[in-house]
Amino acid sequence: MIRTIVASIVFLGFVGGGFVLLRESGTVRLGRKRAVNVFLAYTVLVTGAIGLSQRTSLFPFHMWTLFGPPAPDSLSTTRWMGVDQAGEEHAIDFRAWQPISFWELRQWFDRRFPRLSGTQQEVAAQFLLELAEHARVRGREDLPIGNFDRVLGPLAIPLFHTYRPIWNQPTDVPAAPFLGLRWYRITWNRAAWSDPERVWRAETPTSELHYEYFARP
Amino acid sequence: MMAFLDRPVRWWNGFWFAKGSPYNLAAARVLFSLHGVWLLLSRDLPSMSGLPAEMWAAVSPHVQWRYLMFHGHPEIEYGVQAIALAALIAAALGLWPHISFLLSAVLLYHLAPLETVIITSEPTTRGFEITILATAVLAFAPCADVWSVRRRSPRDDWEYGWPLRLLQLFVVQIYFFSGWAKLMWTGFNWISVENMRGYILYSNLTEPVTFTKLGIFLTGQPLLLWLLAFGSVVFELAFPAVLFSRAARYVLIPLGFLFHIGILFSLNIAFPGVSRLLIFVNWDCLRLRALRVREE
Repeated sequence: MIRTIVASIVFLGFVGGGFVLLRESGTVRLGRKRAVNVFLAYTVLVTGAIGLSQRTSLFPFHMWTLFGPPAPDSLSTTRWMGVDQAGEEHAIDFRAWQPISFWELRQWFDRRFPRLSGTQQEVAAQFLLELAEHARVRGREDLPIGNFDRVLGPLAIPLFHTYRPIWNQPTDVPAAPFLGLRWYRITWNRAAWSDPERVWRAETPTSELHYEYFARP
Repeated sequence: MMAFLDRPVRWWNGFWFAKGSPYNLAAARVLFSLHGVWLLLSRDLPSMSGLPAEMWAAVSPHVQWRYLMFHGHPEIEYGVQAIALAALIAAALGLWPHISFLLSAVLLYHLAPLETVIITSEPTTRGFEITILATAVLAFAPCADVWSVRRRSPRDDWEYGWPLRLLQLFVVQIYFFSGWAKLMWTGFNWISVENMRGYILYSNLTEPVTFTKLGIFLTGQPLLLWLLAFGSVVFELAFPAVLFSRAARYVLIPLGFLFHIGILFSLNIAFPGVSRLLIFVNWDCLRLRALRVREE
């Protein structure tokens, strides 16, 4: 709450300072220059304080902590699998979840999903199942999957993390409809982590079923 | 009494109020507005408003009021996005630059958090933060006096300098603060083989990614890993030199592009703002050269 208030005030101050510049643009030069100086000082102070303190970002002012913390010493991830009528599991293309970016979805599933009630979880899971199934149908019909490249095609700005599409042609896409979803937690152990050769061969990831959902008939 | 302030004040004035070119500022206008259009058309932010309420459950009311961003109105958001796109295109053309840029800044501030709303109200590193700051600054600057549908009468030279320098400062801060953050969060231990290897493994293994060959190669090359870690920190901390030195721009700007290509192929991270490095190009100089070539 406090951060929201502070962030709003800081942004309003920035835009408000700009308005003063507009007002001063038609007046004497000295007044204009002084107004520019105040605006610059405010902006430099705010961006500098946020970046140097590394305490918090106040969007759109960012502290740019890109890869600042040490690399994680263990590796775990969430993997979604579509389940067909025969009970067979299939990997799902990352574009299937759009308009939700894959990274956001994974974070949401790790941090927010467990806090939902059982009924809420089912509603959200049903929605995700529909997204996955919709993408599967489109993939089978050789139609574009996801909608981020609907306007610009391959010229669309890629996601921050460049995932690899796995449904590139209809034969890559599972033929049978998805009736359910399973979420697995995949973890590489620390012994493998310290030995890149073993990690690259993906010898020892453990896979733990985290949640599963099947559509109600 | 205030003599000790003379030097810093002179330095401040010399830096911010040095002569600027209307063409370089106009180039920044086109670059940032088109980048905003590019970003908006590469995502589907309005649809996020239409996700099930359960996925918005953790979005607190004060965050919704902060951005005037509410659940269940994708059609309104599509309208807002259309206005933002129109404003950005008008800004690129130099039409009503104050209004079009201000509208762009405010609407992007409203739309950008939709991308990450289900987990955070701070949509950082998604490409909008500098675009919002830049469009706000350009709204208050004479950025459409040239290379514009409507040509305007020229102003004092310094009026074209400070806005561009401020935009350049925003870009410099990305690199400098990420170098600074490495030292603040991890210290000099960040520059280690294990740390670099850890990041490469983390970025390449968590999901199927596009590029793996360079990552696989690097994890078995301890000396290269250390040099890359050291080089990254030095490059980032040295980047502010581009604000003061032409020689530094000649070296660090091309290096910046190489830096991002390396990150893309080793860490599979496509930084959406890499094109902003183009605001360090002296477009006015290129324009004059082109004119000279045409005359010959």
